[in-house]
Order: sequence, then structure tokens, then C-alpha cells
Amino acid sequence: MKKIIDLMRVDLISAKGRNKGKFFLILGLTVIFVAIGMLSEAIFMVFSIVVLGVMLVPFITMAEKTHNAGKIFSVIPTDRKSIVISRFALTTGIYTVFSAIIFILYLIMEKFSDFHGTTLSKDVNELYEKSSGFGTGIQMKALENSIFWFIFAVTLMVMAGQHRRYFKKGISSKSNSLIRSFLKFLGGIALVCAVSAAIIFIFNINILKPTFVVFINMIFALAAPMNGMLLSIALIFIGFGFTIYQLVCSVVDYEAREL
Amino acid sequence: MKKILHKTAALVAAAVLTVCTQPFSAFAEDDDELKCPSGATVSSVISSQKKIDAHPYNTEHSKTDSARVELIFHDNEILYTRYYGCTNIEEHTLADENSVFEWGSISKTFVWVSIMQLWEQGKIDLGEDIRTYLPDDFFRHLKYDDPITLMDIMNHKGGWCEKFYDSTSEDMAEMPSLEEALKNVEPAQTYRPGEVASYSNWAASLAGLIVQRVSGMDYVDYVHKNIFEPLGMEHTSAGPDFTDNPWVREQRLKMNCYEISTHNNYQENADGTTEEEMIEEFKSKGTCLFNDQLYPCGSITGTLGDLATYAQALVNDDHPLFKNAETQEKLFSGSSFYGNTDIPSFSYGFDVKEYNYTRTFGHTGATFGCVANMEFDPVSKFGVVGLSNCGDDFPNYLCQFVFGRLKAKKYIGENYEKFDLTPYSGYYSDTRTHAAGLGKFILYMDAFSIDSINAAKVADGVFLEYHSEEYYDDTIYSIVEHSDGRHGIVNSCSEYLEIKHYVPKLCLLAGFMLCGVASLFILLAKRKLNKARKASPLSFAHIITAGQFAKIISLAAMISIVIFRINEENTDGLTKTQGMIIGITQIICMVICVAALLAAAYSFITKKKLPYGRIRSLSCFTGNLITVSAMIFFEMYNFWCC
Repeated sequence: MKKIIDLMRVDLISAKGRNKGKFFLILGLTVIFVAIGMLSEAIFMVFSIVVLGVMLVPFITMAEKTHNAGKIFSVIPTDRKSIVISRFALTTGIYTVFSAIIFILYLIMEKFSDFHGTTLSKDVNELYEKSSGFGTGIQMKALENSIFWFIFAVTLMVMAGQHRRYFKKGISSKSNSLIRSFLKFLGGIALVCAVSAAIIFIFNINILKPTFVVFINMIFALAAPMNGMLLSIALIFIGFGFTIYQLVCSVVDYEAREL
Repeated sequence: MKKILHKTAALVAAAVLTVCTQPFSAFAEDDDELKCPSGATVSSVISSQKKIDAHPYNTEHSKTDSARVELIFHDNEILYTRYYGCTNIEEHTLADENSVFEWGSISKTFVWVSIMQLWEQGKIDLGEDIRTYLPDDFFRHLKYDDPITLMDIMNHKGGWCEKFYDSTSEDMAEMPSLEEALKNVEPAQTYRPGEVASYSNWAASLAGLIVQRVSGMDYVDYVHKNIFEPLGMEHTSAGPDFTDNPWVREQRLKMNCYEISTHNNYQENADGTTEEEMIEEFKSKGTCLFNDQLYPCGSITGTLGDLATYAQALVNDDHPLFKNAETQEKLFSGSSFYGNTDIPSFSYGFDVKEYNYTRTFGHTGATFGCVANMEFDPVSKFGVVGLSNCGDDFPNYLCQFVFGRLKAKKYIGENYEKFDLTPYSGYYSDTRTHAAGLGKFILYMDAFSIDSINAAKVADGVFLEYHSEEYYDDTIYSIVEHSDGRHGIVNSCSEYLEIKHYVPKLCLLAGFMLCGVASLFILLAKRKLNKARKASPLSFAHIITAGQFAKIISLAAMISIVIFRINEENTDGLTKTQGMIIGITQIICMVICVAALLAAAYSFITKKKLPYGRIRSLSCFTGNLITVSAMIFFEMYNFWCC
């Protein structure tokens, strides 16, 4: 454990020494989204965790010249497995703590929504606060909370994927740049939307309906109790589950790689 | 929906036009002029409807829309009939007096009328245990020994949830007898008889069998002899596949059924701008013919005229269907009531609706292709019947003109008192949903909280779900407490029943699903480690791996239930074979998971030195424990009693 903590400190010190401009870029973008959330709809704060998530891994790895974590071996004696674990633990830890803080901030802002409400916000709130009636279990507040943790889980998966690519292939500093990472993320979302649209167009929605119904029913059933906490826990579980899977794969890939 | 809105808008516009263009003398209504329960005079309703019919939108679309036929009657007189749309759009066949439609659950009222006929003849006791009228050992899945009376069945309180298995036959040659069919798909009895209201098609058909056994006649023959023939209903069939009336069969085969599908259309205007509009089309579903083995609950098919004849008979003072006037009066006196009030929630199998100025009785119906509505007021003797061959176009537009607004505001007054639902706070689910066997998990996916409902007090334990002044449909509910301490919220013959400890149970279901997803990740990681020859397996690794596969298969089997239920056309549940395959698959998966659970426990105890060995054993043990517990609790294996 001590070795892993030491490795994290090495990464932090390296990043701090070389990436001040990029650090302020990430900080600036996250602050902007937090401010947007405070001024309009609190849910917009979720974009700050997306920004941090997709830029955090490149921010740590770009501090190296070798793009294979090789520099660390010259700083402290270690093994490849520990490096992978420390990197995953560091980025996942920072991201999770930051997300938790943003979520608390989001909940506070939701509580005081009357004080920060713009016209748009009031309209949206009115829509949400309508009586749901019998047979409609889902509350929009619960769905919003779930959306926050859904985005958290997806970003966590993206981060795990970035780590794995890094340890498997090593990424050039050009393709690992912050802007490129963010654009790739947006491109990924666009690709998913395009593929979904193509599937619906080609196969007809009726064929997909049963799977869709199971999926939606389950999501709504899980989102209903405890203001969406149950669904959120399920999503967080999936996010971390995928991260652990990518961690195992990264260890195997990194140990098999010739440095 | 937009089409329906268009139609409604056209109807309202025409109605306003009618009122505004009436000469002033029309407003000086003659006191002797017949008035509908809504307060409008019959002549004004009819003239407004005729204007609606003549509206260019309606005359144009009547040739391209699906059929919606409606009729208003008063006592023995037919006041107004509308035949709108086509029974077959592709062949441009317009709806007329010879068009036949399926009446769906309105058929159940024929069972209830038959029961009441036999009751007044002294052949049936409504308070007697129905086992008296059935063969010995008829029931195989009864959970309670309490007697089940015909009164319970008429109030949908027999204790059965909706049947799980399909009861339609593709081929009439394969059609079993009614008794056999009922035995084949007997649902689980999940509630104590006489306590919980749970709408059941199966129980209604069971009452049909009782009619058959008590009268000594085939059910279809009984209905023909005792209802159709006395009323002269020559254009109606009661049997499956219309074997009892070839004319109805011939007419029915000409009809197609439709659903409304929407898509966007872009139109270029003269100035070069593009305008987007929503186009709604009637998509053909074919004939939607089906042979229901449980035919008493929903197989009657006939013309609008015959449906009106039947409804008129039920408001007729000469009580043509009964020997005694008292029997007909009893039929509409209410058989269950909201709390301690005298507001009936259900009346001997007939739905009760509370309008601002009147109370109606009747029933609605829906099959795979048709929808139907029958409503009448036995006091004023006004009635409305409607039929349609499009499931998205419910034929009840005329009700608002005849009966007024479907609001029960008369019970709460202008300054209503809020009804506090806090003591009953919790999660509730529709009792009609499966509560036992393979489909039990569906109950937990359909549950909802009542915390955000606006309730206005009607009486102690009785409230109105109040939306707003503009909202059309307010519904009365009553709170009941059952013998097991659970609360129920009753409306008509439906009930929302409280689920105790809902959140932990839902967590178990979510845990089961997450274990399936996690197993997928674990298997992928294992594959990676095996390829790199870095795997360090626990004891009995093959069994543990098999357990992971079993969890994924079990999850897929559970999802397949919903897929089968939605995907199959013109069937109303899983086939027995599908259920058996899924059930056996779940049993095999459960056995494997139990073995994996034991293997993980052994691995944990033996303390074999492995990287993260204890954590891996423990997580494997927990995953299998959750899966097995969920399988047992949600009865995922139980394909024989659901």
C-alpha cells in the first residue's frame, strides 16, 4: 500500500511541475460549468465532472516524456502492476472525490433553487413538480439524480479506457492532448447516437421495443425509490465494475508490453 | 394522439359553432323538451353532432380513417347514430350498420347477466362456494381454503391475479373445452378471496363455465337462447371463431384493425420556407383474428345496433332479460362501495362512472384489434355505445355530450378538504400484475409511490384524485386495510396493493441484475488473464466459472419473459412451452449457483494462498447468495403456478 501511495505522490509531483497551464484550463472549465449550474439548472454542474474526468488521465500521463510510465522506474523501485494500480487509484480517487463534492453542491443548489431560479428554471421546475398521479412512479428529481450518477459512471468508464489504451500502446503526446481527449469524448457520443439512429432506421423500432421496454421499466423502477439513490448505486457499481475490469486488463497488457 | 386532438378540436369547434348559430329562441328551452343528463337538450346534442358530421374535416377524413361508430339512445329510441371511417381502409370499405366489431370485455357482462338470470331462477346462490358448481378437484393452485363465492368473482375478488399463460388457439381444431382451457391456464391465487380486488379474465370465464354447468347448456347456446334471441340480436356472435354465427364471421373477415403511427413531414411553402408537420397514419394490423379458449370473457362480436339493443334492454322497465324487475334493479344497485359511503365502486360486474350530474353503468372492452364502450344511466335511460377497429381511438366521444363531465366534484364541493395520504405512504402495485411464479418480478418493476398524489377528501377513507379544474377525469378511491395489515387503494374493480418492505426487495432484484452484469465483466477479465497465463484460480474454479455463466443466463431468461410477452402478436401471454423452458433454465442456473456458492465458501475457508483470494472468494460467495436468494424470492423457477 505504501508503495502505491508513493507512486501516486510521484505522479502528482510530476504533473504539478510541468502542467500548470493545463491545470488552470481544467480548473477554469470546471468552474465555468459549476457557475452555469448555480445560475441556471443545478444539473448543468454535471458537465464539470465530465470535463475533469476526460482531461484528468491525459493531464497525469502527459507529464511524462516516454509515454510508458518508464520514468517512474528511475525515481523509485517498483513493479509494473503497482504503477497501473496507483494510476487507476489516483485518477479514480480524485474524480470520485470531486464528483461527490459537486453532487453535494448540486443538492444544496437544488434545495435553494428558489433563490437561483431564472425564468427557464421556474418553467422547468413547474413541469417537474406536477402531481404524478397513480401508476407513474418516477419523479423527475429522482431521474435528475440518476442522470448525474449515470454521467459519472460513463465518464469513469471513459477514464478507465484511456488508462488501458495508455498502458497497452503508449500514446503520443499529440494524440493524448487535452483538447483531443475532449473532442474524442464528444465524437464518441456522436458516434453512439449515429449508430443508435442507424440501428433504429435499419431494424425498425418495433423489433427493439421489447428490450427497450425491459430496460426502461427497470430503470424507472430503480429510479423511483429514495430519490433515485438505488439506480445511482447500481450505476456507480457498473462504473467501478468496468474500471476494475479495465484495471485487470491494463495490468496484463502493460506487463506483456516491451518498454 | 394528434389526430385524436384534431378530431376533438373539430368536434368542439363544431359544437361551439352550433351553439353560437342557434336562434335565440333555441335558448328559451321548452321545459318539456327532453334533456340529457348533461343538461343539454336532446335536439341541441343531435343538431351539434350532425354539424360535426358535416364538417369538411370529418367528411374528408371519414374516407381514410379507421372506423369509429357511436350511438346515443334513450329508452327504446335510437336518437343518433354515427358511422365514421372505414372498416377496411385499403379496400375503402366504409363502416355501416352491417359492420361488426369485437366487443372485448363487454362480453363479461353477458356472463354476469346469465348468472343473475340463473340466480333469479333459484339455480345459483351468489353467496355459495363456487366449488359446489364445479367438478371435484377443479382447482390446482388455490392458496387459501376460504370459500370463493360468485359474488367475489363478480366483484373480481376471487383472489387471482391475471393469468400468465396464453390462452389463444391458432387452429380451432386444437381448441380445448372451456373447462380444459380454464384448467390449463389456471393462475396462482395470490390474495385471500373476498378481500383484494383484482381484475381477472380467467375468473370471468370461470363464471361462464358455472353458467354452463348449472344451466346444463353450452355457454354459447345459453347466451343465444337467453339473451340474443329474446332481444333479437341476430348480428352477434358469442363463440370463438364465430362458429355460432357465419354472417358475423363473414363480416368480421372483411375488417382490418389499425393503430396510429406518426411521422414528420416537411412541406415547402410558396415563399420557399419549409414547414414541418406531424403526419399520423392508420397502420394496418391485419384482421387481428384470434380464437380465445376463455371465450366467455371477451369473444362477443357484433354490430353497433345489436350492442345498443343489449344496452337498451338493461335500462328497459319491462326488464326483457329478467323475469323480475328486482333482478335488474339489483344489477345496478352496487355490489361494492367506496368505504362507508353509498357510492358504488362496482355493480355486479358492471363498471360505475361518476359524472357531475349523473352516474352511469356499463363496461369497456379491448381486444388485439378493437375497442368498445357501453355506458348507460338506468335512471334517465340515456345510453351511449361505441365501437372502433383502432386501439388508439377509444369510442367514447359522445359520452361528454350526453352525460356531461366525468368529474365527481359534487362529492368534494368548491372548497375541498385535502385528504392526508401520509398514513398510507409507501409503494403500491396494481393487483392485476403477476404476483407469483415466473412473472413475479414484474410486480416490483411496476410499483409506484403515492406520496405525490393530490387527494381531496370525499369521506373517511375515501378520496378523489384531484388534478385541476380543467382536468377532465377525476377518480374516486377508497383505502382498505386487509387481514395481513397491508393497505389497498381501490377504484372500481381494480386495486393498488401496498408492497411491504419494497425497497429491500427491489434492492434484491437490482442485486440479481447487477450480479449478472458483474459476471460478464469477471468472465471477460478471466479470459484476459487466462490468455496471458496469469490466472490464479480459486478452488473448484470450473464450478465458480459455471456459476458466473449461470448468472448471465438467468438474467437473460428473466428478460426473455418480457420480450416474449411483448413480441408475440395476438397472444396474451407466454406459451406453456416457453414458460417451461425458461423455468427449467432457471432451475438449472439456480443449482449451478448453489454449487458455486458452496465452492466459494470452501475456497474462503481453505485459505489457499492466492492474490486477493479472500476478497475474491467472499465476493463470489456474496454474488451467488444474492442470485440464489433473488431466484427463490421472485420464484423465477416456478413455471407451473403463475
